[in-house]
Amino acid sequence: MNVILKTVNLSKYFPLNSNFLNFSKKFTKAVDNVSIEVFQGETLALVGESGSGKTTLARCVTGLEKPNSGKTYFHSKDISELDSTGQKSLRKKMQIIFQDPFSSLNPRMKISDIITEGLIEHKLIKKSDKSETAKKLLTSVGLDSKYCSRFPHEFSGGQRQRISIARAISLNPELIICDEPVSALDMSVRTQILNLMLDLKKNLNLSYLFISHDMSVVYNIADRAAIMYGGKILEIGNVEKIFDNPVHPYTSMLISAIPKPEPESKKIKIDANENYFIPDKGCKFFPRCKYCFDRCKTDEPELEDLYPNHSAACHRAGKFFKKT
Amino acid sequence: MNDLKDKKLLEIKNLTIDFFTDDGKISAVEDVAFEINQGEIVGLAGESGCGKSVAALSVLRLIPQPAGKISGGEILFKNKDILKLSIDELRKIRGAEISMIFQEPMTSLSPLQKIGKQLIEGLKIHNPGINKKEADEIAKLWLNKVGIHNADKRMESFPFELSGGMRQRVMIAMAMLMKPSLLIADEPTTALDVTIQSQILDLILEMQAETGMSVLLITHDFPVIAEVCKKVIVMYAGKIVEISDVKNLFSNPLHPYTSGLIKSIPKINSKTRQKLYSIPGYVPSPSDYPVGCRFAPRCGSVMEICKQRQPRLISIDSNRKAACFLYEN
Repeated sequence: MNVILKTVNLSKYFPLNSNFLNFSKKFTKAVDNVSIEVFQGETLALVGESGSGKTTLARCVTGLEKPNSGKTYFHSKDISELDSTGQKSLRKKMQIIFQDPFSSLNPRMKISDIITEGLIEHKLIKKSDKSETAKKLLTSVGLDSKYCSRFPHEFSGGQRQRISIARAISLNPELIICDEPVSALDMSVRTQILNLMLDLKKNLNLSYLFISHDMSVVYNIADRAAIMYGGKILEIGNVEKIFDNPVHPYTSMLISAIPKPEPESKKIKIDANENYFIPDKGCKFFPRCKYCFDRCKTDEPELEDLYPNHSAACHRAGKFFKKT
Repeated sequence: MNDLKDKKLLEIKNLTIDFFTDDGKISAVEDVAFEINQGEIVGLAGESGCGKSVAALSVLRLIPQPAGKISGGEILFKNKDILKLSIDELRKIRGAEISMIFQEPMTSLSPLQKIGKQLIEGLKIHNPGINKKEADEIAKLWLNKVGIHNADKRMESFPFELSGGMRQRVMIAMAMLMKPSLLIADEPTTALDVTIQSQILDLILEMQAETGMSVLLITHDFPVIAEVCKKVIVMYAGKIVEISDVKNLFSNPLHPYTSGLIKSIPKINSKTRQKLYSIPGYVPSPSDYPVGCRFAPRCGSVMEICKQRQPRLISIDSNRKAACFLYEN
């Protein structure tokens, strides 16, 4: 399979307590030495709690944020070395859908202008073809084509998210970065949008980098998942393998925290200690980990291949799960 | 408190709440009736705009006026009609007998006051004789009970110094200080991460077990209902569509809306992977509700009568009710 997007040791630090000269000694490592690959035609999910760095990682690969170190390759081209024309053509191939459909659509623009803005900017259609193209795009995301001349405030959350999707697919991209696209939606609409995204992926041969904190959504939409915590990838691999056999204690914690729609099912209690921090040294997760031992506090574990297509960064995993 | 066991704590009868907007009068809640017994944990479920929060706010008469108005019905709390109480009598109930936790813990705490001061504010209002030292001791006791360990330090913290989960714990401590008989929790975990969500739900259950209070949990998340509640009320477009005990609701939902929602919960089961069920269509806006059953345009088992008349909420058996023509006659 072709690698469509690849990051190599990508890091993004944000300064803490910076003084008036913007000089700071302390940093938050929002993304810390992350290397991931997205293959053509697959959905890679980035999972983690708020503050785990998943959105910052997405912003770095799209060029919205400049990483402190590391490289991002799109089709084996380094995106930081692109000139302005190169960047423009890159944006055509890489689109984003944001979490909040209420703030990601310009309230003063008509729907037809919103979804064709990119096409006109890239000179792919003439202005006279605008309404025709807009109608086609709306139909392809399951909206009535008569909505073209309406404004975003006239739509519900689910309909707005469909408009965001129409805008993202208008340029015929290869990769769509979806930043929590269904978290703000109601439950009856959530599965509609997920199904639409699955259909579009198949029909348009798209790849998704799907950011989510909801493990049950990830299980149903993604091919592979990367579990992030404190700016690091703790576990990455095939979704079914991760759910059947979670290796990292954090992954098992996330899976057991999913509320199950079965009353009277056995509940696993999660440790109520919330006084955790992200340590500078050692494994990022050790303050919350019940399996933590001395080595976890000093050495940071690296991602290790445990099974084919399944690796984890945990000292304990290497000891107990290593393939023999 | 013991003499109230198995007795009705809260009874809502034919409640209708109207809002006056530029588009005319909109009924956010129409003809809603349910009851909560002593010590019961009841879930009020529905999607945004279905009127669940408005119904809960009306229990404390917190509907914004003059935009909204409770135009009909009764809210009986310990056999007193809340709608007929004077403001002074109502203040004795608010925060003392009925407490509320809101969705967004950052906006429900004042950013300018220390946690300690906000915690004891209610205590001082409801017990004018209490001195600060006693009040502080009670506040610290409850901070400890909700799992905040260094209570002395936290009393001196400002809300921005706490994480979302910690803030929600402070809100719970604040709600529990007066040992209320009813706790209304409006989407208490929606803004939180999954791991924190399950801790907060556990905490609410623990607090309930300790004090024997009743809980009304408002949420749009069905799995959360399954974890916590005993009885569930499902609302759609301003009306109750189903009331059921939690076990039957999940194993054998009556209303097509409820069964659609339960089917659309993403499951961790390789057979269902990548084939999610979804209810077609959208929630109607209150200004153009259909004439008949409000779910009819999205319903898979719609009949001719559904488009003409509204179904009544009828009893199916001793603890289940549904508003659907499938069950009439």
